Amino acid sequence: MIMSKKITKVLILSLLFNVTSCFELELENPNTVSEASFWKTENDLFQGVIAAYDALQLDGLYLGNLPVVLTGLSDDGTGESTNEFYAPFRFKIFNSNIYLSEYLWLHFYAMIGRSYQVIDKGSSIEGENVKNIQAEAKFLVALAYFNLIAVYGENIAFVDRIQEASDFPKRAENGELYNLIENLLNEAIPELRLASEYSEADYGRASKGSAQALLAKIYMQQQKFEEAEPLLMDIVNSNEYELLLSFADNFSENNTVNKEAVFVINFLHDGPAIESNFHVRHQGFSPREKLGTYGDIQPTQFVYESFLQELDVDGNPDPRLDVTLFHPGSTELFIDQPYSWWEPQFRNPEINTAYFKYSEQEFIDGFATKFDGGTDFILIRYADVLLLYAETLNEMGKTSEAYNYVDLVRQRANMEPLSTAQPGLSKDQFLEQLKHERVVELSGEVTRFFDLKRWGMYNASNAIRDPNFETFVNGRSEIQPIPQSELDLNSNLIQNPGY
Amino acid sequence: MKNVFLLGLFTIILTFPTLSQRIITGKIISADGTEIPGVNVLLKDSNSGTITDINGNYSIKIPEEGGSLEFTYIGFQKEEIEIGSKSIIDITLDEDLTELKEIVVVGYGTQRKGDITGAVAVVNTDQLKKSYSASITDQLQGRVAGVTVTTSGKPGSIGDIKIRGASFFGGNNPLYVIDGILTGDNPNLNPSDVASVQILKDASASAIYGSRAANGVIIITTKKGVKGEPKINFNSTVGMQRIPSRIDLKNNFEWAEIVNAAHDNAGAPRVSGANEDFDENVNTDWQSEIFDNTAITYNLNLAITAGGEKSSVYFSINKFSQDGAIKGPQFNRLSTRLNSEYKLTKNITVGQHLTLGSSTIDGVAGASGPDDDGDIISPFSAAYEMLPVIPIFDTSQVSGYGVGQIGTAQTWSENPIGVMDLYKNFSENTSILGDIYVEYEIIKGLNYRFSLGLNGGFSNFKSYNRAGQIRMSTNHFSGLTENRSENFEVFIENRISYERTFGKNKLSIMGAITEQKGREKVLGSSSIGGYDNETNFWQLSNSTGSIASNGSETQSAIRSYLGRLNYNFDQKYFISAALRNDGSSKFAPENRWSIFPSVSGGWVISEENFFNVPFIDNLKFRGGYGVVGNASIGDYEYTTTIDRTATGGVNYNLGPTSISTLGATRSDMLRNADISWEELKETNLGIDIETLDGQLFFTGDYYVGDVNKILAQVPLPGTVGAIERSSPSINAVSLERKGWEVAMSFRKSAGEFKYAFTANMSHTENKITDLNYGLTELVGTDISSKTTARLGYEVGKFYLLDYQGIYTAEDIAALPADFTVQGETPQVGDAKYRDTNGRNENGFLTGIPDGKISRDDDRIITGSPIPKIVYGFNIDLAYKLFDLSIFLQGISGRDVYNTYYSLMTTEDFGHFTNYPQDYDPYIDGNGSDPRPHFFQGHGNNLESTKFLENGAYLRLNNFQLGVNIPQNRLENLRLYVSGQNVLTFSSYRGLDPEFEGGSVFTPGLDPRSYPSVRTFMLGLDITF
Repeated sequence: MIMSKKITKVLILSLLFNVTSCFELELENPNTVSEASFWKTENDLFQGVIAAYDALQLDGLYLGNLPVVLTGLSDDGTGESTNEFYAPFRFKIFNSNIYLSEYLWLHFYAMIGRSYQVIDKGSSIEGENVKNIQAEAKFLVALAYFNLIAVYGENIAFVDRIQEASDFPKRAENGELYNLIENLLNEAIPELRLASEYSEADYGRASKGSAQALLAKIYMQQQKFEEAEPLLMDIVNSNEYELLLSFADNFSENNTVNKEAVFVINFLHDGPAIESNFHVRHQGFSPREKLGTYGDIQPTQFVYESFLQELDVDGNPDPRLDVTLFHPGSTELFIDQPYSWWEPQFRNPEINTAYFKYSEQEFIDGFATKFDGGTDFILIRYADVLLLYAETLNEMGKTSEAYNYVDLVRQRANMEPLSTAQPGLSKDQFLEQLKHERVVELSGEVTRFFDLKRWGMYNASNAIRDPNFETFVNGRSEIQPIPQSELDLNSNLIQNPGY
Repeated sequence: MKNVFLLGLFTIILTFPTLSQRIITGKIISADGTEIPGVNVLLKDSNSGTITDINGNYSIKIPEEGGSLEFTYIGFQKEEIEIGSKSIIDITLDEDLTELKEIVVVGYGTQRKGDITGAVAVVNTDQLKKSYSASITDQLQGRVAGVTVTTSGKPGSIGDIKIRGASFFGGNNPLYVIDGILTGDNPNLNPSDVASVQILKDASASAIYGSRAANGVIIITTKKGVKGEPKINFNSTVGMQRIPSRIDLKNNFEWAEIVNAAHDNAGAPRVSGANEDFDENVNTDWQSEIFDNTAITYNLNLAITAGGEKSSVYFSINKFSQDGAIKGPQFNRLSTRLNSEYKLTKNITVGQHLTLGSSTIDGVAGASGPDDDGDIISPFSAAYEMLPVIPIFDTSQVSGYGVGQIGTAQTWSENPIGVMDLYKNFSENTSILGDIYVEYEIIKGLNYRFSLGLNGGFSNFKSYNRAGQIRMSTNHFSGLTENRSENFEVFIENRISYERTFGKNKLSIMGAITEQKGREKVLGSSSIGGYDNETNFWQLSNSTGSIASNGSETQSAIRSYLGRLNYNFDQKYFISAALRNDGSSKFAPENRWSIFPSVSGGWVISEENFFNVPFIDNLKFRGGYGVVGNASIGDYEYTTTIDRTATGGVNYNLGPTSISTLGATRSDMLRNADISWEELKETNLGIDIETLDGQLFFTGDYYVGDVNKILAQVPLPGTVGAIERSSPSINAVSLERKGWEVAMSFRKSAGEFKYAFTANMSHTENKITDLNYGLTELVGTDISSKTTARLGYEVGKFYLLDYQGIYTAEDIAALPADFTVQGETPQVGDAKYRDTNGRNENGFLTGIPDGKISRDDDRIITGSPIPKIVYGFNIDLAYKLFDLSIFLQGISGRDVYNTYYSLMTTEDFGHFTNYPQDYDPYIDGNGSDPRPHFFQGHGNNLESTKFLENGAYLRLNNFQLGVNIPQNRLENLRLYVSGQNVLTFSSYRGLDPEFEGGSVFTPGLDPRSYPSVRTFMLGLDITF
């Protein structure tokens, strides 16, 4: 009986133990910070804009695919003819979910999404740099839409704020997106610091000049030269930028602040040892997928021929040829191999050059984990700005004034000034000459796609320079099909005509 | 005990003067020695009677002249004893073999089988144990109507179990209840330890388990000690295993002819390895290199049971070992169990269950299936992707293994022999599962039970590989990865129950509060490149490279309040109602709690006076309705997090040199704060028939229900801002689910010849009735391009071009001039697909054929990836000392997509593989399969009904022939031979028609995983 009482007591105690041990159902995630508790300080916002810059280095964008796609879609680059991967370059109807197209779309909208987190969350954060940070994010939104419009046209998804899972953005009407990004840049320009006002450690952040140059490009793309002119003039007069003495220095891993870079994407110079494989550019511009490179794109023959049109003041070939192309006369090695090694295995046997500009030469032999190199990619180069300024002045009827800026670019390349080589060109002749100048100065820098569109030349007639355009269908192929997966997921969107 | 005795004595003294009466006392036990309380003891032809007490004792006054006593108890056969001059009558009651009287565990209590009103399968564990398997659950395959088990031959793998089909997108595992402990993971229990298995199939039966019961509940009860002298049982089985099937493949010359034609047809230069300069002496049979291995497996089991007046104990120790039927993998498990119980006082019992397990799996990289172990290909794909012209060993290669060569013999497959040599992986698991409990009978019929349980373990995974080359133009670094995790769940249960019989009414009530808390901690480390090829010291500390680490922890908790009421009148009318309220930490506070009710009833019509069908002993109708839940999501999934990591991630390098600046942004995995329980509302109608004096038993169930709020990872448009498509879980989808199950058993003895026959058959089907946002199709990364989840259709139906053969010259001549297939004009020998749809000038689908075959537009929804019928039958024969059992099992009405053929005849992978022997492509005017074409997107290389095959099969799953050898010194000595997966009848051309699709969305796609193995065994069973 005593035993029994004891046990009863123990039982009662165990019951008490029971009641007091109730498990809590509200459990905090111990692994990471939640969205609701973030976005409180200026530093949070700065980290946010860093993530938005990071989007530039996504593989769908400047890490690799975007230069390949935009070069392939224009007449200065071509991909292999029998691979579905490159079907867009042949303007064929293709499964629009293929990697190249889908990731281009996803990653630009990711950049927009990350930027709008900064723009929207910043409105409730105090701090002296908040406005500048928000302005940088606005620049990035504009940069994304500028590209998206060029690839997919204007009637794409209209995103102008943070998106939640329940948001299905509307289809933008003509003009709406241009209007949005013009406004964003006009808001950003007065808030942004000049390039020289950033410390060296901040090199790579969007400056006032970056935003002005982008806005000028956006205006020019819409033939609004009048609006573009003061912006470009302001950049030229700001003395923030200058042409480097050596053209080639723009495309090497020089580890210094480049005064010619108006906006630059910084890639890691020391390779993957520091971080994961990201943040270093991949090798889409190599001649072939050899030695750990991808070899997606080769220049069209017309690019090579453009360089052969004119010798420099010393009677030598245009010095920009060796920097831009890996060609029959190249004396430099491509990943330690001479031209004669590569030539028989070019992806497209009818083309005897490869892009050398922005192709990486760093490579660990035998171990194919390091495809990528660390040369910074200059998205807006001062030489480009000068040529755009010349084009704008010419469009505004100020052809003679325009000569000055072309001359600056040519003289740096040891070419005779245009003002002495071809003085007195008419407006149309000058534009034709500018088209040539842009090829020899900027090929391999992903400008040609936009140039063709701006000049009204993006049509089947380019087939004379790039056979891929033989299958270009005027009225359809100017813009690419919106990825089908996006149409499936957002019924507000409509496929572009003809697809 | 003592008290009872005193009481008895007192009674005797008190009644002594009445000389015309005397007292009979005794004890009633069952065949296994357990005392039986509550037995009716009746003096025949009189009104005097009594019942046995808690210890099975009784005493009864009888007239001096005696008579006979009748002993009756539910579930036992009636006994009648002539008293004569005896004063003590001890009786052993035999269990009534009528199955309806069996006592079964139904969750938080027991019930007589005949009283059950839901769909509860009581599994015959004796039959189960004839199948050879490391886990009790694998042995359920084909045994229970409505329960499908897909097993694999991979050492250490546990079969995948589904009850009434897959209804959810994230998790379809049933809930396991092992001696009262709830777990969603298959417990991998030693089959010998299991006393009973009950399966709660319908919502009315399983609702007592509320939020986790929607996939059904498997209740496993382990063995207890039996009263009596210690009994020792030793069982040993040794077997040999082998992968039984092969696919006939092309040899080197045949391969070269096709691959050359594929290049010619695409206008691509021939690969030289297939052209002139290949070594005709190299003709590797990769399948045989990988599969030709006979593996040894054995199982040793020792069990001891014992019991006394107050205590009982069951102890076992088990060793299970299984080598891989491909070279390399090996599984070993050592497990022990101790179950004991002790009666502290007359009404307080304490006890415990505990099992400890330790297992190791030595693996082969990739062997779990495609894409497992990072980039390493599964050996079951490598066998078909490797080319006959590649030698196994090739000294001219970096590591000496033959690999694909660009431009000569192209394949991206890893050399599987190289993988086995260079890549090693090991996992070790230690598991603990057990509980302690106290049962307290407060007053008669009112019981309180408290239990505290623990389920958890440690696991340690390690893999490493030497540097080298095992794949075309790819060298790999050395590497080492180690992951450790610990995982524990604590359970607390307080239960109170009351049972009372008054007149013809029988009532039982149960209420309980349960709590469960789990935590998991993970730590991982890896190093790439830090090892030289001579090292034998594969430890992180020895790495000369950098080491990356990661760690995380998660916690979860569930609290539940539950209750149940069972009532029956006169064993004729039954009603049962249950209610459970569950709260879970997985959901936001406003969605945290949910109530799961159920009600069911039964009517034994054969007990009615008007029922007069002589050959039917028992006829019962059952019906029930219940609501149960499921939550196939992880922890904390209702809050969106911020991505911010020290390296990589969303950082950016500002400045001219490489300085990484920390970035932060919303995680791409957007979360949905509104997520809540998934829910099944189901109606079940059943019938039980017993006839031929209990020899034939039939049960049938029909169910229909709605599965609502199914959590689907609904992909969001890219405009939401995620770099990979963000697919938050949303309670988006509703299904209708219905089906039927029948099972029957028949047994009979004719002298020394005994035979029994059991059979079961089931059917289940589903149909999507709602998708969120008015969508008609669910899209997402989990859904293959070959299957679809569409409104109005079964989940995972095939979505394929309708293949019609190849174009003949007449066909081509008859085509309109602008007819195209994937944008190209078809030629003779090209694949012919049915034109089913078209687009108008605005790009919208019209439903009208447009003379253009396109992969995007012309695919049709077709086929039946889920079997229409799943069945099994078992025959047991016994004559004198010999017994034989034969178990057949199969499915019918299933279409499967032969991914071996689609891989090799290039729908999946353009001419980078070998080809099957019966592939007959159109070359030089001959052939019945489409013209080979190297261009992967070409019309001849598309997913189509060409690869759909009949997936029906009938398998001689198991036989066992045994002999019981008469022996004086041993209680039992039995020898047996048995075979498993002995014969399969199927027209399917893949390796094994028994497979589970990779996901619920791809139920009919063969994942090319480890096939079932054929096993032959010898066994010995001794009891003494």
